[in-house]
Amino acid sequence: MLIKKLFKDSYNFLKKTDNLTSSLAQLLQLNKSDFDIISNCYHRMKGSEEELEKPMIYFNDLNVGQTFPQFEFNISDEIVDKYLKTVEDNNEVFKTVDDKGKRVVPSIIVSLFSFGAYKNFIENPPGSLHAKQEYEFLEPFYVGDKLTVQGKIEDKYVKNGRNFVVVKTEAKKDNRIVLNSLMTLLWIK
Amino acid sequence: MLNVIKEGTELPAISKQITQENINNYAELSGATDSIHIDPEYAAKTEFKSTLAHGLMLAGYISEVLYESFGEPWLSKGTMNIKFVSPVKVDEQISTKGSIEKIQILGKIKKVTSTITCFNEKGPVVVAAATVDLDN
Repeated sequence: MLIKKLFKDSYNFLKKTDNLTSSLAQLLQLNKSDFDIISNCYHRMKGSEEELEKPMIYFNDLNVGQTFPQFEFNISDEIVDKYLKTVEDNNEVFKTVDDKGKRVVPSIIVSLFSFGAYKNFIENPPGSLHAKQEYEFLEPFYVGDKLTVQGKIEDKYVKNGRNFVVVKTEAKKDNRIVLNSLMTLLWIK
Repeated sequence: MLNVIKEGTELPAISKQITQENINNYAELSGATDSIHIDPEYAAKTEFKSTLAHGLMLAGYISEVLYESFGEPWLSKGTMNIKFVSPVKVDEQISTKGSIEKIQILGKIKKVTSTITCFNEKGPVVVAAATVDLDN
């Protein structure tokens, strides 16, 4: 998986010099696959002022089975407070601590890392849309929970002339699976 | 919580307005910072003519209806199957309502399936099916 810093350095170099030769690719420790990703991004974005922080991946570049790096999502008081304010959920149960000293949170708060499972690492082309979402919540969530999250490309297909990509995400707490998620995206190109 | 759990029971309805501030906050929290959500100037030039709310932000409204209906069991375990039917624009008023579709008795568990829909003034924008396990 092409790491963000390496992508950014290489892509910015290419923008400045318009020259990413294979010898430089070696110097930057790019393998052929990463070199192709950067080169494709550069050619697609040529002439655009837009900055790219991470590789923008087109439908044909995605590989079913491709796994994204794991990351941690910590459910903090701050995140929960901001989330509740954002969706205007005023239920007192989410603002208080129970008699075991725990603050339960709405399970749907997992939506906050659903995009991150892939968007932390790659960008979809502008105009891509979220078509469907499935969640299976297996346990309650509380402030203080540290979740380990990992996404992968579960499927991609063409339907009615449109490209769809399915990202499967699993979240674990203390090595137990606590969430399964399937996100279907209309990947615009 | 609902007093009566039977097929056809209507769930409590809620209504919320989509504000740019809420969209911006959701974008920041989720990392989904595409221009169509947070850049009104960019969005004005698209087919939508205005910024759009994240579909998963509305999933929060659906979850709120489910908690109001079923209480703690909804927080313990459940499923949601959501279809994003139409884009939701900033400033739209969204009403969320649903009903119990099916009840299955599985030993000590009563599995309740509900359909919940978010509507703008033109019609459905998000449709969800959700299951929650209650004690039988």
